[in-house]
Amino acid sequence: MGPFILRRIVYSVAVVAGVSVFVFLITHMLGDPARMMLPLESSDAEVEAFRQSMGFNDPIYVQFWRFATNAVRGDFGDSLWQREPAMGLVMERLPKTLQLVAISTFLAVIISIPLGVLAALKPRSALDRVCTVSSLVGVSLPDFWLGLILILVFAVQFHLFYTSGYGTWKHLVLPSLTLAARPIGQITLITRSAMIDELSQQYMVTARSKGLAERVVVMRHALRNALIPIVTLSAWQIARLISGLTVAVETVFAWPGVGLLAIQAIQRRDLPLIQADVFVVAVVVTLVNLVLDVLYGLFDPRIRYD
Amino acid sequence: MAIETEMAATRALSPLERYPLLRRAVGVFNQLMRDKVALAAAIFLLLLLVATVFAPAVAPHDPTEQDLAHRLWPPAWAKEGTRDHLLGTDQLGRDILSRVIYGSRVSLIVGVAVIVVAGVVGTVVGLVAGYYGGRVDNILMRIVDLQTAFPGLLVALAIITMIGPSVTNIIIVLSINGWMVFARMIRGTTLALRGSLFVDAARCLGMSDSRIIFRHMLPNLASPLITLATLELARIILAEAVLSFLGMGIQPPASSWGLMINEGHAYMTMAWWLVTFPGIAIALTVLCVNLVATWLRAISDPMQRMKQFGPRMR
Repeated sequence: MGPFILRRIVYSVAVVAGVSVFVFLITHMLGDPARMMLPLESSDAEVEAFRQSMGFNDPIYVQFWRFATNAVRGDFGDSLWQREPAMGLVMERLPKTLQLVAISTFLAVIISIPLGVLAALKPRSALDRVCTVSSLVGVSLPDFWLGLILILVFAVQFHLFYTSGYGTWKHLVLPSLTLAARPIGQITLITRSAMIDELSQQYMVTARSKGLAERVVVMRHALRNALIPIVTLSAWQIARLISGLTVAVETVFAWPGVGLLAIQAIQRRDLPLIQADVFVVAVVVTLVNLVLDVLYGLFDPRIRYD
Repeated sequence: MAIETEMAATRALSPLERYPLLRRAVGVFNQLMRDKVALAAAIFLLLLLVATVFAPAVAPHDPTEQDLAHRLWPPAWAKEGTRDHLLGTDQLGRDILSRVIYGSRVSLIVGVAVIVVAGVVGTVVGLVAGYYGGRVDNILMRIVDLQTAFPGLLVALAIITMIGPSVTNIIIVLSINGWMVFARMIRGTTLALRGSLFVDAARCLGMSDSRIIFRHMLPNLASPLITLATLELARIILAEAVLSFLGMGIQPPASSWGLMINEGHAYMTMAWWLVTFPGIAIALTVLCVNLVATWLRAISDPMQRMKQFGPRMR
């Protein structure tokens, strides 16, 4: 297990480095960063002066070395928009995104696992049909649009929650529900299919013939074995939410997380802030994947790493 | 004599018997007739395709025609609605129904183009990695792994910031984002096929690698490939909508469903129909694509079929 974790950490560092290099390359090779960051009406002299002051005239490898050595220390330069270190701005926003992701994942898990189990217990029943179809609907809804519709109904029409912003639990309800829609659908579907698999196994007959209560058979025996795909998918959903699905939802609800910050940075063409934002998101996603891989080995003794 | 009987037998063959592909198509069609939900989804997608291709004939108005005297008119069934604008008009007096019909063009063009580009690249990479194995496989799969860990949407947004938003650029960015799903799936299936008898036989006959890969293995990958492509189509239609909604996709005066929601956002509290109808269009299209994908998976894999509909006897 030890060597595996070590190798996995080395790999994670490589992934984060890869993402950072990629973002550096696309922002420096695909266009002129100076022209991009300055207002459109800037004169050529202004652009040239800015280019000089930012070091964009240096050879690309010199720029890259400077970027890399600073990035290792978490320094991506000052945000052009806020005039303070970009990294600090991102770290300030990160907990708010994590809060949103944690709550919607929690919602998704407590709603969809019972639904999936119930559907699997009576396949082809009316309840099963309703669960399956509504899961597919949840997966198919564009999340930003669902957010807007929830705002229209619950904030504008009934004044139950706030339309946008950050602060109380009333701000939290609509964005976390919006973000939870797709995970709810997917986790329900996978729970249902994993449970149908387990319920048709031979050990279910053994458990029943031992005279165990049906509740024990379903919850202790079947569900516990079905948990591996469910946990995998849920964790994958967390990584996906952090890695960008929150962007549109945070924009709709003006939720001050890293997703909204990314859009603000992009709209203001704030290169250091874009780089810092992508870097932090990549680190968090990689960490989630790392923790998950290590936990597998602990949870499921059948999984061996070598 | 023997030859004559054979010829007689050939003549007696019906077209269905003579063309296995046609027979398969008819079989799939028959199965579709049996699944009412999938049939309804397929019919909706077919109608959508017709409306997209013949948009000028189907749409009641020119989607860009402004009518400032009739701005923000509600749908026909509301109190002030008119039959002339069934789904109402937007902030510039443009007909929403016509714009929804024309907007489908972008969604479908981007979706299909990305599937083709990402699908071809991913399939070739997956085939090569799976067939040759060893170092090639290792390097290609590390690249795939790396990209899977990428914050996809953020990187896509960063690229679009640099190269500018346009239909072509959206297709490029979403293809960069989507090819590895195909590569991973195709590699896994190719690995499983590589050891099978017919591949050994083909190799013994002295066929070239490319002939084995493309003429013998690829046809066997067709059904998982079609299913995956359909699933990906749903994801890409949603991704295009998100990009356009964020203002990083289709630019005005062109239009797409995502952009319509973006433009209607500001008027949402006084005119709910501006954001509602394009959203319903996205949701219905994606739902139908997902339903068809689910059905495809069920007919191509009996195990999936059991999971989909539940075991027959309990």
